[in-house]
Amino acid sequence: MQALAAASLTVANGEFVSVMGPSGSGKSTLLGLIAGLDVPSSGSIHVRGRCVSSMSDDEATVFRRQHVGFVFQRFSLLPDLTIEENVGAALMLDGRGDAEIQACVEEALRQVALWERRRHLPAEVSGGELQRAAIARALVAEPAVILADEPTGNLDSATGERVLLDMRRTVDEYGRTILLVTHDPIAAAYADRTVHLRDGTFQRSSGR
Amino acid sequence: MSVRYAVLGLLTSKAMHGYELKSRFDEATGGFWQLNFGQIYSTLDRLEREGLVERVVEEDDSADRKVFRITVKGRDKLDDWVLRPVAHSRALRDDLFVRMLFCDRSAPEPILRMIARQRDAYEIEMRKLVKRKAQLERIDGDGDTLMTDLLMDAALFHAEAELRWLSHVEQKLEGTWIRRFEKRRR
Repeated sequence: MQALAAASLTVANGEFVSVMGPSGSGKSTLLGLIAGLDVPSSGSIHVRGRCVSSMSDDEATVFRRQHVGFVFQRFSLLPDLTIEENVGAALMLDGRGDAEIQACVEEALRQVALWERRRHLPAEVSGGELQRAAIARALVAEPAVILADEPTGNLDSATGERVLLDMRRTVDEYGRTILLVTHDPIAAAYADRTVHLRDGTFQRSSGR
Repeated sequence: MSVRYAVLGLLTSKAMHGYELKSRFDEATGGFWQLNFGQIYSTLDRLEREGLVERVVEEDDSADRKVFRITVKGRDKLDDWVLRPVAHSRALRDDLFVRMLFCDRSAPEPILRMIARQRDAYEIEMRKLVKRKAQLERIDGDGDTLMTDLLMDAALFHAEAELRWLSHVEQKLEGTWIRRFEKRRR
């Protein structure tokens, strides 16, 4: 049983690509493969020139922390850390200096207009702000790619729009690369192009 | 219908001539709905005949600087209309449905191809709408662009609804063809 068969996808630096498909089409498998969380049975995955699919678990873990940002449908921030602590957590694991971490965290929070809320705990901010904090955390290490899995799935439409506009801005003004998996055609419209995944293969693509 | 009321609505803020009406209308609708001068002037003529707008006479009035303002009757008519709910869904008079009605239905491919093309067209349109929204968000200072933004959203939600319908159509048609095919096999 193949989740993804004969699938080939190239995402350029600074591109915002959305992947649409019904459930069971292989969307989550795709993200897992790119992140090095799964190993393909054939074929290969390359991110910024590194072959992710042939890394060991340890190599993949470090690679993920340094080069891949994640934004999930559920907010997944640590409840006992402030927004700024949550955003800076992964940088601390990499052994960066305090001043550098502070600078990176500020830059990331300003990109999503959350610097003023940095000292709050997750329970003290709204759903939309939590998701924007998740985006800040995803981009703080200046990753090669940000993988977003239905980031607006739990948000109401107006809040979701805010999050998507922030994502668009990180691409337009800061040159980030984003791969967004969604079933929502409006969310997909925020990307430069949309690729359709159906029964494990990429079928149609439209875009700039 | 709404062109008359759009003109009346624009005139509630100040008296204008046709050129200003056109540019304000174009701006409010985000560049997605443009009126030409012919439509504007014929609408103004009709509204004037109905007593809903009147010409403003200026001392230095030249032939092509006709300024119009809304009358009390015009304001009442507009207020009435604004509060009236929309009677029926526009979708019941849908171009797309008519196309589908006359598509060759003896085989599934033509309709499925048509649906695929329509999906692509919606995707392109939705991307344009979102791009415009992002532009408006960047330039917006005082919330002046809120109405235009909401209009873009209406178009986006309509497109989303159409896409859902198209998926639904595909599922139902595929079901019908499968049953027809199996019947023939027996």
